[in-house]
Amino acid sequence: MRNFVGARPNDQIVFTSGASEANNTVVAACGAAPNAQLVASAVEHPCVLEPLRRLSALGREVSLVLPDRGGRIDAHSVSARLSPTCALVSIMAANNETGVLNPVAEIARAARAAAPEALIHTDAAQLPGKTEISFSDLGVDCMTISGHKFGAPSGIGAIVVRDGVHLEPFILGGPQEGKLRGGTENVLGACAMAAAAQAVAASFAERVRRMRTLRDHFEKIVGELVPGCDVNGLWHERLPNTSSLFVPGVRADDLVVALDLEGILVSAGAACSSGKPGPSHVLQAMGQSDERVSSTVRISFRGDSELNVATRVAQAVARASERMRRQA
Amino acid sequence: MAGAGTRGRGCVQFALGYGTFLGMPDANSPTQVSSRSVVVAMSGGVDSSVAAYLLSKAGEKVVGVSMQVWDYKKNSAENSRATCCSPADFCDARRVAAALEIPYYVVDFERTFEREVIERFVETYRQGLTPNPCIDCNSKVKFRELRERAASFGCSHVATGHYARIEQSAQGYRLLRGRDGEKDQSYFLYTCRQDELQRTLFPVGGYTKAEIREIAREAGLVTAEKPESQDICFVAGSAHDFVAKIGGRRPRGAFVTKDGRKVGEHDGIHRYTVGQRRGLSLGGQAEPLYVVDIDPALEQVVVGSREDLKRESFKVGELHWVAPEQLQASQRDAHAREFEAIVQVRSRHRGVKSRVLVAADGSCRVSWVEDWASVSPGQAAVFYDLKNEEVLGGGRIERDASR
Repeated sequence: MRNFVGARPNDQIVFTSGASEANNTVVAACGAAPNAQLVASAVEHPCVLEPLRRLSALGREVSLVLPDRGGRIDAHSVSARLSPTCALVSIMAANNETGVLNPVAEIARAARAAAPEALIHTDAAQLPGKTEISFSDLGVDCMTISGHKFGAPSGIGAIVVRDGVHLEPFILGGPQEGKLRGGTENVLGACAMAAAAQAVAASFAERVRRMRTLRDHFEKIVGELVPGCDVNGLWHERLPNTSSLFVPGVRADDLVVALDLEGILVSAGAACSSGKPGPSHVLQAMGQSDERVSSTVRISFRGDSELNVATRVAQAVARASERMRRQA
Repeated sequence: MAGAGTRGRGCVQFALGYGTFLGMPDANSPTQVSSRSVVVAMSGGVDSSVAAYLLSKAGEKVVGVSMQVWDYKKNSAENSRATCCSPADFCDARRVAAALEIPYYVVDFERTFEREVIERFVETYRQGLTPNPCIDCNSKVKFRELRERAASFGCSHVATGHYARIEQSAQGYRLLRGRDGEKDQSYFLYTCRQDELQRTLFPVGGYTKAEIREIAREAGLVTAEKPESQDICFVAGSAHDFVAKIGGRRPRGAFVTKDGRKVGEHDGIHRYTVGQRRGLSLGGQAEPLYVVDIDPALEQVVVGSREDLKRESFKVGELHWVAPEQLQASQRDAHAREFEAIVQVRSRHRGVKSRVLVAADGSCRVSWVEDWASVSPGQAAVFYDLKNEEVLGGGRIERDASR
């Protein structure tokens, strides 16, 4: 696992039940002091934002940094928000809805300079299997990963903790994981995650190339077939598999159903948001219009799909959106 | 999966009845069946479950949809009372869809429902009238927006679990009462247009409720024994409290007699319905008092004897004509007409033979001789043919200024 995430020999891997627990742990660990300031991006996953909301209700100062209209967090806009009492800077490595990559290494350097006492964290749940990861190069104090995002079963994730950094445990009552996480270890899950990491590494370059080809091909064709459609975050560096597509004049929820009926599984906003319809906080934070927020679907491509999948999906989006515009 | 093991088991009623419920002579031809796909509105109740089951058994391409119309968590203090369309009901709908192996989705209609049904429900009560939200829900939500969204999913037809039938004739589509007279719901459907009837299916309309339960049991559907939903689906307590909560309560006002004498005080006109006798809290009267009129301008509830309810006729507005002959007649401008019909003025009302007079300007009056206590402004008056079988049309009973 250390090699897979690019950690140094003395950095610690703390296994957790997943990214949600990992992120909750990091936020809670930094929020103890009454005067603590906690800084994160406004486009973080809810498992960062919700613990922060709770701390905010308890009187902690929580600052959320807005991205640009493309969804990227600028290092300067982070460091400008930091106060001397800052205890946590948490900026995700890649956004789960848009796939936009943040300049984490640059943010970490700027944050370190502005608030030397702060713990610097990145939620990198989206990275494994899609980009190279180097925990040491990112220069952060800790990093979240999630097993099921790269082929392990759900129920396993980890916090990578830089050597010398102390992180207060979230789950108390056991000496496991170097006293950083109580509870009997999920050995099976940890082994599965390690095996998944090996499998990903074996075919990494080919899979990433395939994802990128599919995604880019899809965006090109859909752009030709669907008038007015647009990709959120297009001009930024993105994960190779994700496309956040604005299709004007359609309800994203209906497009999800129409594509599902054709055997194409996509989501409106984040995958976990679709169960209960609600506007995407990510697109809202990007300053996108209500229309754009309610007409955006997220499409992710696998690294093992046939090449004609891109065309098939683009054509299905075109067919469905044409039907929907006729209704409107 | 619950019920999955019983798929494929034959059902006699079903095999005999299916062709008739479609009401389309050619509906079972192979080409038509294979080319169309049907969205079934699944509430999680037994009727819509069986509707989905019947269509699915007949080889239709069926897509189950539950309509999320109202956020109960946000709008209701009490969760104890089971209402239609609650999360538990969607869970049942999902289980039925899984057993039938059909796609199933929960689709959000909250905005339309709030605008077209809730707001009108509240405003109607606040104007001293008696609303019928099921009719608005059918016309604006189920047979309008659901249809549009079904079309955007690529589905041509919409089916519901209503007890009503659609029959195709040389003149056009006819909307008929459901076979089960006790359960018939055609009263709520008089706003259906011809183009809507053409693409609507009522799979349970040709059965009795008992038969539907039997089909559900035979098929092993988890909803087979679910109790009936009775009241207004989005109201968890009393309708009056709901109106007061959403729209604000009307001021207190006076009970007056028809000659203007004050006989008591009431808690707001939104609490009363014309024809109402119970719950007026006006003691010491020689004969039972009825609400005979509600005046929103003066915040007055006019009370009187049963005799005081009587009029020559009542006025009906917002007309919709359903039967092909009536549609043709209404399209010929400036042709006043008069016909006899069975007129039904409430959902559970047997219907009374009356004369319907349509004036040249399209306005309509019903000469009514029977029980005036059942005629409440705001409710629908639905006209049936003299066999009391076919919906000719209908509209809203209006408050008569002459009162």
